[in-house]
Amino acid sequence: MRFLAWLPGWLGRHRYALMLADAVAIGIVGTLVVTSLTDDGPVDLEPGEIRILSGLDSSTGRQRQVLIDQWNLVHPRNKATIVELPADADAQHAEMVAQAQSGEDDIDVYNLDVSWTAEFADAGWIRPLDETGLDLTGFINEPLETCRYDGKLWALPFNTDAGLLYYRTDLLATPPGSWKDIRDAVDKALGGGSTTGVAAGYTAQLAAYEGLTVNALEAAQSVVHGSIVRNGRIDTGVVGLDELQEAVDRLRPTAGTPQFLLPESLEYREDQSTEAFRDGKVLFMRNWPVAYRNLVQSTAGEPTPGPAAAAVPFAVTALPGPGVLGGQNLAIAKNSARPRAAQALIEFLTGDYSEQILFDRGGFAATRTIVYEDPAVRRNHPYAVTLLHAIQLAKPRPVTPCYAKFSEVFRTAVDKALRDDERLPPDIIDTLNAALSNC
Amino acid sequence: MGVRGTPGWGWRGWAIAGVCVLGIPGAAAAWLTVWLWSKGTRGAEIATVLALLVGVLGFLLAVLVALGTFAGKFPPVRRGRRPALVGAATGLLVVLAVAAWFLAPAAEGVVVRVLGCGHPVQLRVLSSPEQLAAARRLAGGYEQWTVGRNHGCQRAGVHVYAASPREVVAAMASGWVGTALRDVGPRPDVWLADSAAQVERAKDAGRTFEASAPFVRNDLVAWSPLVLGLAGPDAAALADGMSGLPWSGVFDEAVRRGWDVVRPDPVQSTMGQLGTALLYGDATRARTVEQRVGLSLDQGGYPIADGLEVLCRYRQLRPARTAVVVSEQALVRFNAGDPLGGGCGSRDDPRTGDEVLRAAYPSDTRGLDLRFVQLGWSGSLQQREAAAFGTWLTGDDGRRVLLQVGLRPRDAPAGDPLNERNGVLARATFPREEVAATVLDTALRTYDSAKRRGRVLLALDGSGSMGATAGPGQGTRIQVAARAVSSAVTLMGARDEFGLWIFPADRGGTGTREAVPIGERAGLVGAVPRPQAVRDALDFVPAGNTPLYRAVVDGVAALGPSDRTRVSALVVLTDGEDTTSDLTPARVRDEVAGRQVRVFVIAVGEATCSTVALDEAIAATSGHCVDADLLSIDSQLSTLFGVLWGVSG
Repeated sequence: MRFLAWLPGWLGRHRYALMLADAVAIGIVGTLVVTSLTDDGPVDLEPGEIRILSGLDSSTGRQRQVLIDQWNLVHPRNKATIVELPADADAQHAEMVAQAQSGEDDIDVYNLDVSWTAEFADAGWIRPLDETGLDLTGFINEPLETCRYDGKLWALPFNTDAGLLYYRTDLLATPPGSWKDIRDAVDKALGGGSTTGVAAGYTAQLAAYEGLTVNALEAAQSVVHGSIVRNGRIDTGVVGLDELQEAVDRLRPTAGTPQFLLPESLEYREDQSTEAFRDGKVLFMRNWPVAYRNLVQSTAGEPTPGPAAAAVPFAVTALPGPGVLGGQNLAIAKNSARPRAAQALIEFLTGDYSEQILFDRGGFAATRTIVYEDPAVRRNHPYAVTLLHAIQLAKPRPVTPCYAKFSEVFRTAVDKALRDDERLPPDIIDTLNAALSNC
Repeated sequence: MGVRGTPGWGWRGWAIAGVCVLGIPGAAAAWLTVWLWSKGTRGAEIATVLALLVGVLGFLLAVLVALGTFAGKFPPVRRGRRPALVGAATGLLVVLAVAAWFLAPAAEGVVVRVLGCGHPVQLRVLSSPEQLAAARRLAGGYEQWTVGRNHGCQRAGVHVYAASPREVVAAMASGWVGTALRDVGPRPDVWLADSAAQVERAKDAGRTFEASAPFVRNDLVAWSPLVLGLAGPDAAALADGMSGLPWSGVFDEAVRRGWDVVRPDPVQSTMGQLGTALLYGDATRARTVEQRVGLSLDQGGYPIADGLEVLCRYRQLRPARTAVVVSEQALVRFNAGDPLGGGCGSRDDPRTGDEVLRAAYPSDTRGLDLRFVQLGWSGSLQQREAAAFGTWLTGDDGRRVLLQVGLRPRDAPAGDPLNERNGVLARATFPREEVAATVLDTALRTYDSAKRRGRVLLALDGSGSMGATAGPGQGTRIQVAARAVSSAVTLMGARDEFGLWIFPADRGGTGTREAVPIGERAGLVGAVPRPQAVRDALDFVPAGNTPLYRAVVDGVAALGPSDRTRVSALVVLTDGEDTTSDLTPARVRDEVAGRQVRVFVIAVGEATCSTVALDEAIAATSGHCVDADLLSIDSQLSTLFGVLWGVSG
């Protein structure tokens, strides 16, 4: 041990330096230990509350709040709060736009209807997401595309939606694949005389609100087998006045027997059409997936009879043509003081786990493919595969900052044509193009 | 350039000239920038960059001129020419400034043509259910007006929505945050209030709760006097008999001649409140008035609702001898066949001949005073646009639209459609004075004590689905409902009656059970006070199916009919469809119709007002249904019980 004989002397000479080094080392280790014990996420998230402006949480059991509670548990420095707005989409839009135009930093995240993303991006009310390290591969492509505008990614899809065709399994042997199939099925089932309680073949949401725009767009898409808008203008290469007229005629109440469209459909929104179908008034109904759960009464504490044992036995299939994509996207407010924290929250809310909770427990259509592949989900929700297929076929509403204007102009023209039994105005294409480009 | 014997301007002259000549494009670009930003026009960012570039260039050139002059690179200007040059430069500056002032809009037009319209400024406009249609027309008129003055671009996007007087006061008191945003609507930039009294109440409530809304502007916009509408072959004779009489005399005369008199509900309607104050005259008449009006409402199957819903029922019924207390504006809309909302959502044929409701103007009648109220809790863009909306509303263009919707604009003569064809007298006079909130509040307190007592049976869904969670931290649905019911029961007046049924009766899932028998607040249930008995009864575990229709039919039968002293009502709170009643919608309707019991439904969760049987039961009993969010059961029940028990606070 002679070779260490120098050590005591060396330690004695450098005792103060060694004490300082010890203190520094203990400080560093202590800091690391404390930090690891109280870790609340990446250290570069700006501290402070994250406020989300969103429409009413209509999920079963308020699953959005459940997810927020979970986030808050592990992110005490970035607790999130949902500021809820009414269920009415127009009221939500008005409050969100006013909030964005105010220039204040009260809101960090907007839960935008998919058709508003372009408007908010164009106006500079939201900021592009930081795509560094962002894994987008798990999202279904169609809802993810509604988050892009002008070459940038502005949001992540929170929940999606696509229309389904509901049909009576006691009156039809096979699901229809086209409008002709639907017409033929109605003629066959109702043509021979009265079928108990059935008043007409088809119902949908044709009151003068956004539902009419969606149904008319879907009818037009079924005529041309694709989207009618391309690069912000009506795609006259595939659709003209005749095609639009044919689409409107498909939704028109007609005299005679059997009646194809239930005439009251012109006053129907989602709930009323569900009730008409539940009461056995029609063979077919176009509606969103949420109607499925309402029809089977799958509520906690009560037996879940399933579609075959519901008040009217039914099943669902894809629409006879591409549907219209619905849903909501989460975007970061331009004036947010904590954009990185907001993005982290958005990534959490749109992750695999959150999407599974939202779909399985809450009834919101998930935006990630993996949720639909889960055997338990498929068992609990037999329509999951059909829904995924419908989402993948669906087309987004026209991507333009002027969507609200377009929708109003389009549905006003269709509503007038349906109610007054008229043809569409000859200049409808020009009118729609004007609305699409100038609001 | 120098002239012999006359020292030049030197560097100062050249610098001034340089700044004037070269800085002016910068100034013009800066002006355009300010203009575009102030109007929110698209391209303002580009103009800003341009302005900065030109301005910086001008400044640099001016500096160069100055330095060059110092260095003697520029010959001095003769002193004799200095005043002329300064004058020319100043003149040029003025001319260009004036040109910029006038050319800015044109420049903006060019920008709009190239880049398209900017995003409209969003305005949120609050109205009452009775004024919603009129407010939407006013908003539409303003939007179009901005298009005409903004290079074809809509400058304002106006969202109009409605809330009841009680909701508005509560939301204003809260500072319009939290549940107000969710349950009432967006935070308004503008409130088109039905009366100054409403505004006063909102201000008072704000002061009480120390969350007062920022009232920036409160202007009178238009009037509409309260009238008694009469139609049918006997109307002319009755109108003659009423000539010159005050409201109390008009009412007595109508009753003496065997006419029914219906009035909007004073708890829900501003015209109902004013009508109540005017009909009472003094408090001693209140009970007589309420009994007569109550019976008229029951016999005609009128809803306990606002003026438009009462008129809607009148339109459906076309009764022979019924007088209606409404505003002149509502009467004009009725006669013109305008949509009235609810079950009268579509346009009807205009009334003609004897079917025209003719307005009688009692000698002491007063008017509703529509107010433009600007609230200052939004950003500067909204503030500017809201102010512009107010200016438009009180200008010629706004007055024209006010008249079109049946109002009498302030400071303008009445004209079409206020004419005899629509049943009104344009020349009718009434005091243009606001009715104070204290007068209306006194009338409402009198109404509370004079109105018929409310006999209410609550049928509560206790099926298995009510055991589902209502959301994080909320407990189960039944727990949310229990809290709401316990709170609402405290609103009972001393004379009112309340009972509680729960369906299903047992785990077998059929029938109903009486949890608390119907009785007055003071009456004991066993040895327990009624409110406590209700709270105790609500502590149970929900289970079983949903015999909803059976509960409706049996509840109506048990209540007994409304009469001169009481109004009977069944309130159903359910979260699902009927599963076990074995009753068809037609059977439910037949069982409840004609029993003088009103059916009200609060549908939550999977339940919906669109259910055929509920819809028909409600229509057959002049009741009402609300599709409610679970978290708003509390406010919905309080509102409903307030209507039935007359809580006017």
